[in-house]
Amino acid sequence: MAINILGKYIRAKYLVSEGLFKTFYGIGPQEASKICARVGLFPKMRMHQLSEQQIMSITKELAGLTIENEARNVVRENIAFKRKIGSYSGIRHLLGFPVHGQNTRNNGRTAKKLNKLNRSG
Amino acid sequence: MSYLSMALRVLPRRSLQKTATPFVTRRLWLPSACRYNSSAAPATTINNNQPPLDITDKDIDLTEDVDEWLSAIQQLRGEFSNNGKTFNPETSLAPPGENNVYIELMEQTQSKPTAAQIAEATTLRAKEVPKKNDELLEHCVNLMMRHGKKARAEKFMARALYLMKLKLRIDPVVAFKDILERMSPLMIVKNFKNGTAKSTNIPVPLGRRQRLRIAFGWILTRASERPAKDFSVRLGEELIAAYNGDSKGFEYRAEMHKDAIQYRSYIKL
Amino acid sequence: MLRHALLRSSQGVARLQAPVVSGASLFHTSSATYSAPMPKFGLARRKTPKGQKGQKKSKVSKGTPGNNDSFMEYVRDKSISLKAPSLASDLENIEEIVQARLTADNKLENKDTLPQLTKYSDDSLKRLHHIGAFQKAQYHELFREKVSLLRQETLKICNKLTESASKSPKIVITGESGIGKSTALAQVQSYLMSKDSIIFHLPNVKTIVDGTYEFNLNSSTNLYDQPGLIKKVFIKLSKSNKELLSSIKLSDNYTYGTARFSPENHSLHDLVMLPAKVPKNLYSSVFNDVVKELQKQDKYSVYLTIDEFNSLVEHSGSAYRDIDYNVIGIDKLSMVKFALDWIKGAIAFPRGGVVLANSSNYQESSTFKFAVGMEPLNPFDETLDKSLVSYLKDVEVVKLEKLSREEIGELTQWQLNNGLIISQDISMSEDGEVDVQKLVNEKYFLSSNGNPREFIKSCNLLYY
Repeated sequence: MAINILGKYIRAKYLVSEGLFKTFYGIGPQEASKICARVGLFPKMRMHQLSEQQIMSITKELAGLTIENEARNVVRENIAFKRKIGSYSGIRHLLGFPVHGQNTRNNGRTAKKLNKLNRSG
Repeated sequence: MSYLSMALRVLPRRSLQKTATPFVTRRLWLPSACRYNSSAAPATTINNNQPPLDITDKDIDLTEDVDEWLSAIQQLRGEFSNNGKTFNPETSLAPPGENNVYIELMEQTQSKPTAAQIAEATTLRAKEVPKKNDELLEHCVNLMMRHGKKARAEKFMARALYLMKLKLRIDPVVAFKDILERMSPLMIVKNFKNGTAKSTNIPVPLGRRQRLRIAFGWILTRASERPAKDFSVRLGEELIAAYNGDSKGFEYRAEMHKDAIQYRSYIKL
Repeated sequence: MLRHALLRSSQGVARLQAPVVSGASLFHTSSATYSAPMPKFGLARRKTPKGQKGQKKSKVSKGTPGNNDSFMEYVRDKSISLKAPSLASDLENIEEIVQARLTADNKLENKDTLPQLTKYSDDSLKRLHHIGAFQKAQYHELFREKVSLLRQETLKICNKLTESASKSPKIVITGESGIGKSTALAQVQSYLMSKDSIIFHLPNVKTIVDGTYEFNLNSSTNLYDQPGLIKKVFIKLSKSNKELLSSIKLSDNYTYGTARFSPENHSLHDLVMLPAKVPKNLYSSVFNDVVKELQKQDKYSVYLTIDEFNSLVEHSGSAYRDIDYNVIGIDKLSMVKFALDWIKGAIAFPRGGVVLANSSNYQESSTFKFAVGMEPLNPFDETLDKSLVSYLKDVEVVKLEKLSREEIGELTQWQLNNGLIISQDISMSEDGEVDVQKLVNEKYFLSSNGNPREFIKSCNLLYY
């Protein structure tokens, strides 16, 4: 069983705050529990216990936040800005190398995967 | 590190020079662990009926404490300075009336045992030191042990025996040994190779430790096939079944004996 | 290569293996076949060995290793305690003993007959079960009856509660892990039950503050109500005090939604039963009315009992947050506020008192220790909650001490008589009698100088 919030399916057995921060990009554990507090949910509430009305108000709270693609765009813009001013970290992003001075002889797989101008994750 | 140097590190140097008058006029913060003689405080501050809920500056005034600190340091200095001479533990720490600290100690060590003590020592020496654990139980625990976690294995075994005790209402250790003795095979067929390609199967008698090991191995194997979540429950259930004669181990034993009988002609006497 | 091929073929061809011993060769020329496959002598390994991928996993999920619940479940199974020897003929009911001791002239001074092994009377046993007074790891499975040791401290508490019932004494039982705090509380409860008192028991108090229950703000009291919790508390209250509550007539008419309660037709028990007609949002007003009714009646004394009390006041804040994400203090939750008010004396009953027991699973906070006088004031303690101190300052501490060597001796003799001591531990003297003194000394040492739980463990769970 799963609960649908903003077109995303969340496992029914998850805690509400847990489900929110595991599902949405741009929401951390603290932001998730803040959302729960604002909606008036108790801390150990599970996803399947949510009423229709509560799901609506969670959706409303989420609409006011920069999440998912909006949040990803913010990251992309920041990288693009660094590239534009020609900073070192911008160049490293362009080359797909680690930014914070790590060695590149052996590892750096995460950087190769993630560090792109059009960063996906 | 001596007490004096510890005290010097904790307190500011300037404060040690002025010792005649209480020097602390402002509030001084000291962690409670550093407070000298802080264990003496409860007698005065504890008040069960009306606890002081409003914590004021008065409660945090440590003037008296610091005075005590300083007097203690002075006392320590006096003890260690030895009337202006350089500090030497051998002479400075000597008890009053003695020049050297070791003189008395030397006398104390020259005690002689009484006749009764000698007799007791000889009788005790003749006795065998009892083994800490039951040998068989420890062997089985070692067989159960995984990744060197002996305490864990011991817990499993203890709980399994406890279950036996609850269900059967008998001495579980005796019953455990009884099960292993009943289940363990006497002979095993071993494969011997003589230099050429030919090999022969010869029944060989097993030692006690070998026999019990095989039997406990069967018990463990059968126990792990049980559905209970906790290993101690699985083992306990298997042991209870085995005590009632309802275990596969007895069939395996019979088969091994049958096999040994089949090859009995190869036994060299 | 040949050996490998042989091995492979021997695995492929049905089970033709003769008994295989580690150390002997795997391949066997024997033509013997067996009906059942014999396992290898290697010991049971749960993990699939390397190179045998695709092996079927066992169908039953066995949980994590060292799963305590499974063991406890097995031990608590009724078949075990039913098979256990009965001690009913040997033991007396605890309520009668306490009653007799408290009415005697020498009361508490006479220590000769204590400690004493006792059982509960049938009536209070049933009520204690409803309350949930018996916990998991108390080793009750060893005997058919729930046996407990009556100690001087229990008598002391019972004496205090009966002597000054109109002043509503407040007592908290403390002590180290396994010393018998919960048992002492159960004993006091059973004694109070025998004296026709209503026991208001708060179950699992940790769950009140850790965010398990739904909550909503009550605008009239400005406190947070937990309807689910009220329901739970009422279930315990109604089950454990059924006869007493049904003998109390209501003093007023009450209406909640469509549910109506009148003095003519309904007793207090009907109100506590909380019928389905009563809407959830009115649970708190039902609760207040029940408390009011209990205050009005003068028939029975009313006692508040809480086990694991220190878990409730461990922190001054609960896990709940308000709309602005501020922590809700525990005294803002209506049920906790109710309990604390009772402890403080702001809520009073004609007769009654408060008995609390701490748990060693949770720490005693510095606020608690200071409030009840176990510790002096530490002015640098930032966690000290002044408001909580004012609630707890009248509470009296009863600390359970370890058993003495003589008391351990009595218990050992009792375990010995019931055949619970294994023969390995018993050493015989020269004339063939059991060397009890040596055994007692051993058990006293193993029970960490008189801890009851450690003592039972040393007799029943120590084979090394």
